[in-house]
Amino acid sequence: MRRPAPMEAQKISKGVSRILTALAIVAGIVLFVLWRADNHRVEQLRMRITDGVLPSMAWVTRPVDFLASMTEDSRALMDVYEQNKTLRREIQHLKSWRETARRLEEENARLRALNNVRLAPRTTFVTGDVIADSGGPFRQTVLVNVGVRDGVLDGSAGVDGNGLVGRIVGVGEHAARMLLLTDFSSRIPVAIQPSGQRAILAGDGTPAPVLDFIEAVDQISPGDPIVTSGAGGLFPPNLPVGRVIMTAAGTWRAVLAADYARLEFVRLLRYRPDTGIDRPGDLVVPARPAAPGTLSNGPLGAITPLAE
Amino acid sequence: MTLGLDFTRLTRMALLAGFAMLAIALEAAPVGLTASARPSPDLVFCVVAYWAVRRPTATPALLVFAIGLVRDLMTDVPPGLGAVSLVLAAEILRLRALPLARQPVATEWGTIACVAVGMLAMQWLVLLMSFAQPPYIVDLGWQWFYTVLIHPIVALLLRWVVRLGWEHGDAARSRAPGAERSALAQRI
Repeated sequence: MRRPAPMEAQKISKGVSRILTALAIVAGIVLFVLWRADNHRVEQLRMRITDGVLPSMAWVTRPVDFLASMTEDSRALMDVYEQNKTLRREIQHLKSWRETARRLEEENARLRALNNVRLAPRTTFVTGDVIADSGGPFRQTVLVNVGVRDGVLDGSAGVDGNGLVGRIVGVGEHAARMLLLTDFSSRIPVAIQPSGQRAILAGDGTPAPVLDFIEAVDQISPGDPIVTSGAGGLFPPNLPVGRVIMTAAGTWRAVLAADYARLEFVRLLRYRPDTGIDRPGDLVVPARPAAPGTLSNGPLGAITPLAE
Repeated sequence: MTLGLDFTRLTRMALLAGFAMLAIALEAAPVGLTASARPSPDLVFCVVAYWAVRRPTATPALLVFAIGLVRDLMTDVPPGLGAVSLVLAAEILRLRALPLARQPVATEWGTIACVAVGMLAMQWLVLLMSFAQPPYIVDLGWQWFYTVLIHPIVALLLRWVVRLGWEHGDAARSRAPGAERSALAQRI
């Protein structure tokens, strides 16, 4: 069936395969350089491919996910007695808090009524299922099965039941990629609660991200709650993030409120900050007969009056 | 062997692509999302390494590159870097395929472990030199450890599922060119 190829043909085939190998390597290097130079474009490509491959992947990832959660559950079954005791203690603790919360809520409602505050419901959300993770040591991201079709925006905040989980860094038609707070490249503007100190929550690959750029360290103490500050307009303010801790080395870090170990569903917030007014509204100004030579010759050009 | 793409070789390449996609899907399953969770083993490398040693003619660089690229884009490895390192690793193993065929299995395992070290070291160095944030060496070490640990399991599974052993491989054929091949080997 197969005869040994002549020397010539073998040589040519070897040469061709060598050229193809070199081409593949060059293509890879070009893509890597492109990724370093223009991350956004490559991220779009990434999401497009993910969109295409994702539906065919679900039948593998789902059983694995199911098995993993089953082992997790069976482990939980082992220490169910211990857990029961802890929960009872917690219930005792929370009962007293419930009273406090109720009192505060009433007070809050009274004060709101006094202030005549109107809260604009600008934040809506869409909930997605975590369908894949990066797994490797390079980045800590997860894929969520909602995308542009469901109104997810690039940069949206993702929260679970307890607090902030991460930020959307790539959106496809049916899927979005979320950068977790623990990733190396995650930077989130936060505020530390009672004092209102601003800081940047910088992920460094450890479970507890670093709090950077704190102005007055003496005003914060371990245990203080951390919330998003809303600076930059990407995230809504006052989303719970975690609590302040201080490590033995003396750096301030955050214990995250989000439960990464049981991350199944995330809520992606569609948030648009209030429209800021940062220039004079030239449409509002009533059309006046402008004196020739004053407005029309100004350095910024004429203010065009509204068409009658 | 020759430039012509015969049916057997195409089938083998398709099988490689199929198993690689399966490995990518397994790697991407959302298990262990905490930052302290151990990185998952590099299953794609295990599959490609097995193929490169057992069926060097059915692991062309372009196919390996395509597999690596899809993996990079799906599981958030720096795009291109993972693919290039996978191609280089596969090429090194392909060149060693003939000598390895005459060695005990442990030698193959050791060679693959060494290649895996080289692959991870290259990725780490390139990231460092391009001023991107390289991962912790400890994490890379764990990934290497799990990869090396799981390679025999992957190899046994592949051998059991597709009967892809030495006996009908390119290496065996080169040793005994006129050897009788079974119907199964014709198919796979």
